[in-house]
Amino acid sequence: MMKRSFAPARFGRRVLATGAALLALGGLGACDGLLDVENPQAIDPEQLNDPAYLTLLTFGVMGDFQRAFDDVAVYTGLFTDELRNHATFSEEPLIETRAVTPDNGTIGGGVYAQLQRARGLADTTAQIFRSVRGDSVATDLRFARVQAYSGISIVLMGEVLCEAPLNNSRPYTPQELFRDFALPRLNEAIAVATAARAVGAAVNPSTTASRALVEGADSIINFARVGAARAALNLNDKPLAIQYASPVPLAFRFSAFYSENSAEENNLVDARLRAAVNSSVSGTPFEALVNMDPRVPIPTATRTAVGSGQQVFVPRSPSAYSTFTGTLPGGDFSRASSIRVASGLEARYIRAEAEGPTAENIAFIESRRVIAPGTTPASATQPTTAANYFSNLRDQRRRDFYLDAHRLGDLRRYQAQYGAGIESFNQFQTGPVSGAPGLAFTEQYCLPVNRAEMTSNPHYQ
Amino acid sequence: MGIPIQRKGWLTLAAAVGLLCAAAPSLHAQGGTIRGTVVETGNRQPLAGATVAGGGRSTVTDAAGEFTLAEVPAGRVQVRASRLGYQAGETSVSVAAGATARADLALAPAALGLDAIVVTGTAGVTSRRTIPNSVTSLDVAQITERTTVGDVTEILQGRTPGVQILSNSGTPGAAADIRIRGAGSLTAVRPVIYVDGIRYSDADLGNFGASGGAVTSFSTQVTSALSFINPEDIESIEVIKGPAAATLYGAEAAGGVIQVITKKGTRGSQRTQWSAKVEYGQNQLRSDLPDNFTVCTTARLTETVSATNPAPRWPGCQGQQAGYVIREESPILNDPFGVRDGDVRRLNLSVRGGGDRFSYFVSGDMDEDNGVFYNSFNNRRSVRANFTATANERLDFQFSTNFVRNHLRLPIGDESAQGLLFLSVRGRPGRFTGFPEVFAGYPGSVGGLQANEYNNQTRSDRTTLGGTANYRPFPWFRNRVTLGLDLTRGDAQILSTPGSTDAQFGEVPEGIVAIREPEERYYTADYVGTAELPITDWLESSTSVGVNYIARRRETLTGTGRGLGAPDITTIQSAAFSSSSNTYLDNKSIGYYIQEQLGFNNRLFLTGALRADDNSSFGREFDVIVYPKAGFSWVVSEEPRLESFFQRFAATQVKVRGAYGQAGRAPDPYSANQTYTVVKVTAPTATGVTTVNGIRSVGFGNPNLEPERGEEYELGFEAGFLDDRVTLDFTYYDKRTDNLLQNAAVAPSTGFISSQLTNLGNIRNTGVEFLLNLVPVQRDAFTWESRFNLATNQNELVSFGDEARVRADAAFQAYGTVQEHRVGHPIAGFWARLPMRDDAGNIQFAANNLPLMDTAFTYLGSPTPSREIGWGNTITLFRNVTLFAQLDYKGGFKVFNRKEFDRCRPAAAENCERLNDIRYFEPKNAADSALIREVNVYRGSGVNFATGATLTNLLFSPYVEDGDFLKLRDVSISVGLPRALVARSGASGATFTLAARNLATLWTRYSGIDPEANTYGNRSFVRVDAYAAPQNRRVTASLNINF
Repeated sequence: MMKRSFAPARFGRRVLATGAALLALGGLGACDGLLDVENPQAIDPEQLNDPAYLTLLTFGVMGDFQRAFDDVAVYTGLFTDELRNHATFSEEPLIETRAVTPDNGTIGGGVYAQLQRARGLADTTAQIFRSVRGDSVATDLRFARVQAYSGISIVLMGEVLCEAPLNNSRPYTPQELFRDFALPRLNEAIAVATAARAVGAAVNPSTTASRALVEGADSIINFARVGAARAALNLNDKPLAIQYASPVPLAFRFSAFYSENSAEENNLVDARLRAAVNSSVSGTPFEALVNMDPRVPIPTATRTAVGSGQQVFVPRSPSAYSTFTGTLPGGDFSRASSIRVASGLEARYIRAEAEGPTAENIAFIESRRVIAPGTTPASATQPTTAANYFSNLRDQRRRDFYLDAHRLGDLRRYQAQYGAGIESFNQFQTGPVSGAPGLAFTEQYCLPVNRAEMTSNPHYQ
Repeated sequence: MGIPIQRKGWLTLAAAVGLLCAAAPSLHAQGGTIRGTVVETGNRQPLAGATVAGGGRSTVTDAAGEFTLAEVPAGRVQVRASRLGYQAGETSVSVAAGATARADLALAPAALGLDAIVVTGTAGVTSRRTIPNSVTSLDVAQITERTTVGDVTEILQGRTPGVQILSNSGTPGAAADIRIRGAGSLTAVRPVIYVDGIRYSDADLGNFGASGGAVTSFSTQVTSALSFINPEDIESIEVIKGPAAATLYGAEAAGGVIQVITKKGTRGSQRTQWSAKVEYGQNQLRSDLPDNFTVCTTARLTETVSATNPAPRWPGCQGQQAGYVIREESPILNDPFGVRDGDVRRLNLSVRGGGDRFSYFVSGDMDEDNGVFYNSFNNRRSVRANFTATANERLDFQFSTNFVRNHLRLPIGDESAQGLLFLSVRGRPGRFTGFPEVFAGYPGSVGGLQANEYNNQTRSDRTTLGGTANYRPFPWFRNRVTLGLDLTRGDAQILSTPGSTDAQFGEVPEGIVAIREPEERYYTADYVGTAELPITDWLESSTSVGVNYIARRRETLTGTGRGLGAPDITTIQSAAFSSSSNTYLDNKSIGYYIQEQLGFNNRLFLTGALRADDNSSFGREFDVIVYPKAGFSWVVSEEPRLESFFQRFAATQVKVRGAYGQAGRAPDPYSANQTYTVVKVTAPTATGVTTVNGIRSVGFGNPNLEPERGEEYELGFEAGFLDDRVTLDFTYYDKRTDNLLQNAAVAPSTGFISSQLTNLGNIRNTGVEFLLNLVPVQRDAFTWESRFNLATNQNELVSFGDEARVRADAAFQAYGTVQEHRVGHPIAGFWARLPMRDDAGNIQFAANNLPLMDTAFTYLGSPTPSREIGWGNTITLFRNVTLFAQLDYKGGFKVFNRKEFDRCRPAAAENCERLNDIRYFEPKNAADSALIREVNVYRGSGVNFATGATLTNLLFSPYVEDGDFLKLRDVSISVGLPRALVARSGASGATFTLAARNLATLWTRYSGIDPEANTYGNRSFVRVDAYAAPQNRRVTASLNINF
C-alpha cells in the first residue's frame, strides 16, 4: 500500500469539517428551546390571571358543581332510603348498608372529591376575581355566581359529610361548615348580586343586556338565599332561615344542567336508573308509592335488576327533574335531565318547618298532600292539622325532593333536631336490607372523608 | 375502479426492485474472478448471507453458500469470509487476469464470538471482547428460516435469557408484554426499541378496546406498533438488559434496550440475489375448553317459557329425573359461526446486491393472519429499502426506509358478556334460548352470529426514515451521525349499527360510530465521535463523546356519533348526537455522554462513562440527571500465564466481566406541571341549554419530579470449550430502582382530585442468566446443536417510600383485592384472605352461613415467572434436512383463573368444573380434596353474590393457581430441495419448511384454558385469565426460493 504524505491543507479541512459537525451537534444542547414542548390541552395557573379567563372560570365552577351534583343525588339516595342497590360492584352494597369507609372509591371519588373540586375551583376563582377585578368585583355578577356555587357546595358538604377540611386545613364540623364557610360566601353572593342588579336596573331605558343582568341577579340572589336558608335550618337557627327563605318567590327554580352532547355532560341518574337498573325502590319505604304519587312516579311494571336479575320497581323522573311529567306513569330520565338544586318550593318548606303550624303553613302542606292523598303511609291520608303537621310536612318533603340530594341532610337534621320520636320512614333504615339476604344497615349516618385526604392532608397525620 | 391499494403497493415494490436491478453493475470480467462456496464446518451445510471480501471486492453468499468476486486484481488474493454466529475464515488464492479461481471456505460456529461486532449499548460499534456487560445477540435470519414467526416478540420468546415475553391474548394483533430482568418500575416496564439506531415506537395503535359495549366500554388488550416490523427484514437483534449496560441510552433505558438490525446489502461487485418466501398455514384454537352443565331441578322439569307460552323452558330436562345433570361441550365448538381455523398467508420477496460504492437491500412483505374468530385478523403489507453509499474511504452513508400498512380487526372478547369465550363457558345446556337465530347451548341472546357483528377495525400506516453518515477524517477518529423519523398514522373505527347486538349491549340501541386517528412521531438525532489511540505498545485508549436527542409527539383525534338512524348510515355528521376530542403528548429529551475505554494488551478492558440527561418532563426545580457507568472485561484465556491452565480444560476462550451502571426512566409528559384545562359545561339559555366552555383543575403537578434511577451490578463470564463446541455465558445481576415514579394521593380539599406523580420507594431485582450452546455431534451426515438458556428473577418491592399516600391513590391496586403491591414481596403479588379453620381443618362459618374469613391477607405468589428455561435443538441430517424444536418452560408464578372463579360463584355454580367434572370429584391429592371441600362448602352456603357476598367473604384463593407450564413452542422440519430440481427453475436453492408454533402444552399445573392467557394486557402487572383468547396453535408450510 502506498504511504500517503502529510498534507496540511487536507488535514486542516478535515479538522474544520469535524469541528463544525461537533459544534453543530453540541449546539443542540446549548439551545434551551430544544426541550420546549407544547401542551394545547393545559393551562398554567399563572395564565388564569388573564381577565379573559374570568368567564371561563365562572362556567368551570358551574360545571364542576353540576358534575358533582348528580353523583351526590344518586349516592346519597342509595345511602338513605331513596334507592336500593342492585349494582354488583363491591363498594355499592356498602353504600346501601351505610358501611362506607375512607377507602370506598365510589363515595370518595364520586361524592367527596367532586364536591371538594367544585368548592376548590370556586375558591380559586373567587381569589382570581378579587385579584383581577379589584373593587369592581363588588358588582360583578359572575363573582356572585361563583360565591353562590361555592356556598351551596359547602352546604352539601355539611349535609352529607361527617366532617370536611378546606384547602388542607383541619377538618371542620358540619356546623362550622354551615356557619363559618357557607353563610359568608352566600351572603357575599347576595350582596354582590344585589349590587349588580342595581347596576342593571339603573339603566334607563333598559336594554336587553340590562334586563338579562337583572334577571340573572335575581336568580343568583334567590339561589343564594335558598342555600343560606338551608344552612341556617341545619344550624337550627330558625329566625335566620325564615329571614333568608321568605323573600324567595314560590315559582323560583335553580337547576343543575346536563346534556346529551358529551359523556362529560350526561346526567348520571339516567345511566343508573333508565339505561340499566342499578337501583330501584323495591324494599325501601318509597316502594309504598308505586303508582300512587306523580311526584315520585313508580310504574307498577317491574324491570330486571342488573346483577341479581330480580324484578324490581324502578322510579322514573321525579318532580325535581326536567323530564318530570306530573303523571303517574311518569317520564323517563334522559342523559339531559336537569335537576333542581334550589327552588321557591324549598324556601317555602324551610319557612314551614321553621315557623311551625301556622294556618298558612298548614294550608301549604295540605296543598302538597292532596297531590296524592290516597297514598300510604296512613298519615298521608289524613288532612293536615296542627297535630300531624310536622309528620305530614316531612312526608310531603321527602316526595317533593325525591332524589335531588336533600334526603341525607333531612334525615340527619331530623335525627339531630327532632330525636327518635318521629315516623319510622323519616329515620335511617335499620335491620336487614329487604330482599338482600346477609346484608344489614349499620349505624353510620354520614359520609367520611376519603383516604386520599386522610393520608395527604397534614392535619390528619 | 382503480387498482386495489394492496396491488398498487406490490407494483411499486416491483418497480423499485426493477430499477435497482437495472442499476446493479454488470459483471464484465476485466480482472480475474473468484468463485467459491462458504459452508459450516462439520455438516458442510451452505451458509447464506456470509460476507466474503478479497482483492478490494466484497459480496455476500447466496442460499447455496456460493459467491462470486468479479474484477479482482490479478495476483495472490486473501479471501475472508465472516458471518454472525461463526468464526471468520480466510484462505489465499491466486487469480489470473481473465480467469476464474476457486476459493471454498468453511466457517466454524462461534457461539461465543468474542470478536463479533456489537452495536448496542456502546459508543459506536465495538467488538464483544471489550464489553463489560451481557449482550444477547440473536441471529434472526436463522430463526425465521427455521420457524414460523409473526413478530419481534415471537422471535425473542424463549431464546433470550432475562427477557420475559408475557403473552396476553392469542388474538392476532394483541401485543405481549416485554420485560427485561424483572419489573423495575411501577409505571412502565417495557424496554426501549431502536431499529438501525432510530428510536422506534412500540405504542398502541390507538385502536378501540376489544371488550365490546360500543365505545363506552373499558379496554383490556393492548396492541403494539412493534408488530409492524417484518421478521424477514431482520438480520439480528441485540438485547442489553439493564442499567449496567444501558447507561449510554440515558433516562429512558432503565428497562433495557432492544436494538433491531435490519438486513443490508454488501458493497462490492456481485450478482443480484433474489429471495422469495411463501408461507401458508392456519391458526387453530386447540385449547381444552371446559364443558357446561345444567342441573335439572324439580322446578326445571316443569318450568315453561312464560305464563303465555307453555313450551318447556328446559327441553333438555324433559323426561329426566330431578337432579339429572346435563353436560355439554362448549357451544362455540359446534356453532357454525363460532370458531374457525384462521388462514395464515405470508409472502416475502427480497433482493440484495451492491456495486463498488453502493449496496442495497429491498424487500416486500404481505402477511395475513386470520384469527380463530370470524371477525379477527391482522394484515400487514410492508416495503423496506436499505441503501449504503460510499463517497470515499472516509465517508459513507446509510439510508433506510420502511413503509408499513397494517389492518387490524379485533373480535369482541375478554370480559365482554358478548365475547364468545365468555359465552362458551357460561353456556346453559338444555335451555330454551327463545332466540331462534342463536345456536343452542349459549346462555342468552348472543351466539357466534351475533358476536361476529362486532366491527372494530384499525388501519395504520407507518413510515420510518433513517440516515446515518460515518465520517472518518483520520484513521484514529470516526464520527457517526444518525437522523431518523418514525411516523405512524392510524385510523381506528368502531361501528355498531342501530339494533345490532353490540349496540344493544353498549346501551346505545340507536347505533354508534366512532373514529379515532392517532398520529405518533419519533425524531432521533444522534452523534457519536470516537478517537482510538495507541498510547503504548500494550495500552490503547478509546474515547467517545456523544449527544442524543429524541422528540416524541402523539396526537389523537376522536369523533363519536350516537344515533345513526339507519343501519346503512355510518358517518358521524349524520348522527343525532356527535362529539369529538383530541389528546396531545409532546416530549423531548437530550443526553450527552462521554466514555473512556482503556485496552491492555487487547485482553483487559476498563470502561468508564458518564451520561447527563435533561427531559421536558422533569420538574422545573430539577435540572439534569447524571448516570455513571464502569466495568471491566478480561479475556483471561489469552493471558500468557494462564493459557496453559485453560488449555488443560480445553477452553478456547474465557472472558470474565463485571459492570456497574445507572440508567433512568423519565416521568410521563406534563406530569410535573400544575395544570388546568377546559371542559364542556351545560349552561342554560333563554330557550333551553347549550354547551359552553369552563375551566377545570387537572394536574396537581410536582416541580421536583425527576426520573427513576436504576442502578445495577452484574458479574459474569463467557467461555468456549472444545473449539467452541461448548460455550457458556453466565451472568448474575442485582438491579435496584430508586426514586420510583408512583402516583400518590393528593388531598381533594386542595381542589385537585388527581394523583401526584412522585419519586418514592424502590424495587430490587436479582437473578442469574445462563446460556449454554452445545454441538454434541458434528458429522457430515448428522449434526446436533443445542441451545439451552435459563434465567431466574427475584422481584421485590423494597419500599413504597410513603405507603399511605401511594395506597390512597385510586389507581393503586393492580387487580382488585387479588393482586396488590406489598412491601417485601413481588410487585402485584397475589394475596387473598383465607377461610378460618378449626383445629380439625374444617372451615368456620358465621351465623349468616358465610365462611369466616381471616382478617389478614396471605401471600399466594408472584404474577410473573421467577424462572424460565428455553431449550432449542437443531438436528441436521445429510446436510439437507433440519429438524428444530424449541421448548419453553416458565415457572414460579400464579394466574388468577377468573373464568372458573365466576363459574363456581354461587350465582353460576352449575358450571363449576370443579364440582361437575369427575377429575375434580376424584381428588388426586390432599390439596385437591381441600380445594373441593372449600368450593362445595362455599356453594352450599347459598350466598347470592349480587347482594349477599362482598369481597371480604368470597373465596379467591382456590382460583389463584400455579401457572407453571412447559410448552413445545416451536417445531419444524426443513428440507433443502434437490439442486438439480431447483436449478431447472433458475433458482440457486430452495427450502421447504413445515413449522408449528404453540404445538402443545406438554405439562402445566394450571387448570384453565391457557396459563399464558391474560385479559388485562393493558395493565402491566395483572395476570388474570378472564376469558382472554388462548395462544393459537399455528401450523404452516413454507417454501423459500433463492435466485
